[in-house]
Amino acid sequence: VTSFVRHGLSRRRKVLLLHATDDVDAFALRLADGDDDDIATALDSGQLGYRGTSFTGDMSWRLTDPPGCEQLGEYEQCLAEILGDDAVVLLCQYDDGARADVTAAHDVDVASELAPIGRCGYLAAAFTGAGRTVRLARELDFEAAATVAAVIDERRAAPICLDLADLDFVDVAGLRALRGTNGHPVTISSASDAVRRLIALVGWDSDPAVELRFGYAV
Amino acid sequence: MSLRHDAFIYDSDDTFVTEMSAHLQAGLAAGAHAVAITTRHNLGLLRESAEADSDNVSYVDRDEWYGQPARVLADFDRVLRDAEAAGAPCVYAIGEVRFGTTPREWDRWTAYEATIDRALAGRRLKVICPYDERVLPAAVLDGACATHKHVITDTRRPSPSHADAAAIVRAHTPAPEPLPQLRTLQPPPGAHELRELLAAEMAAHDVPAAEAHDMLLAAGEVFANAGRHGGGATSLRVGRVGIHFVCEIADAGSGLDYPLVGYVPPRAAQACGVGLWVARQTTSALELLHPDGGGLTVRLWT
Repeated sequence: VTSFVRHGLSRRRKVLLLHATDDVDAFALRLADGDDDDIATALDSGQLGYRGTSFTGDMSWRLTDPPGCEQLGEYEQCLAEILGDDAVVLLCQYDDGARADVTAAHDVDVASELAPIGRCGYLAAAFTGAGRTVRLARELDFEAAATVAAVIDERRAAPICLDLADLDFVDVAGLRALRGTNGHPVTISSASDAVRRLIALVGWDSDPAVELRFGYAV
Repeated sequence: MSLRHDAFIYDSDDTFVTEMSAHLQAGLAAGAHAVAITTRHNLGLLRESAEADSDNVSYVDRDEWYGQPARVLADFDRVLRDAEAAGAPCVYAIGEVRFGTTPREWDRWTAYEATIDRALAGRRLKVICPYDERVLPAAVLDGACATHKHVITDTRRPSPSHADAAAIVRAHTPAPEPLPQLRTLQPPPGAHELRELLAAEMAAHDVPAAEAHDMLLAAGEVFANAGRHGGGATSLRVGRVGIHFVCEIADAGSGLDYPLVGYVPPRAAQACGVGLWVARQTTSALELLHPDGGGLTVRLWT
């Protein structure tokens, strides 16, 4: 290893040394075997070894809410625990300004089988019926509303049909998001009790822009 | 036409039948839907009068109609939307409010009468609210003149004591009790966590499933508003008070001093105020508290 390092340094190469030690200086001294001038210079110039690592990554992929992204917070926390000291600095770039640009990716994120959608992981969505129906399950609230509205906006060129039979909870902002950001007409093919309740409370059952294809008893 | 909401103060069965039959007849002549909500005694009187006994009039027992004020507004909204869907030009209604027997109930329903002009503004409704002078206390009759722009006695006249609705509601809303028995919880960071927390609390208090779902809906809307307008929920208190489960959510925002908020039925594409409308519909009572330190506290009762 020593001759490999020395050979590299003599040719003015940058030497990348990976070794299981916390103390780069002590290791370098051992490597230099007493003759430490060259090694010290190489360390100072950054030619040999590293005092630490600065790492940065573009996290804007998260804004597309891909499957599994609800575990991101947990992952980041684990990362912080593993790294611990200041030898490694991580900068994760979250660009909320990019949101509008990445919403186009929603089409591929919502799978034909139920997949998590939104940042919080308690809403799932799927495209069914040859992609003509959006099926939503579990809980749709104001925190997931922007994501759902973006999905609906993506598909507003064609009539939007919603299968809400498995939506256990929906709030006002969530329900409104089902019509996109500009209140598109929608058809609701089936609805859970929670959805029916809120539809009646906000008067969608007599809104001509909302077609309800399930029996509705007030 | 837009909303017409008159009080009719009467002191005999004959006066009642003459005036109210004429109102229903005028409605039928105009092709309107006609609804008579009044006492069982008065329903009998109207049905006996040949002119008003018609298949085109809906007769409703007022004891079944006047349950919770916000829900009564929703029921009127429903009648109006159904009439609209059926192509009727408007609705003619008789709404004889059940004022109850205690000063607290008188206040509650006087406040309700004050909300109508705002809640149903612009709607095609002609409603007359009969007040039986023989049985109602002076406080309620005074309230009738404050909450209606026009009052019918022997003739229809503008009410000299008609007053601002928000002021009436404020004056007739009792000061919220402190409820020290409520338990203070840390407000959770997200809406999902709030629902989980409240669901567990309500399960522990044996709150029936439908009421519990409605409370989750109401609390979620208040929580969302706290985040949107109040900088986030700063305090959460829950517990049982008598037969009710109570949930109180506080924020430290700039507050909201408008007692009519949440009383207006949502219209298509309406963006604001729908959350509190839903919260008022899904709870038996919603109280707005204005703590000394600022912010807004909303107290919800199952």
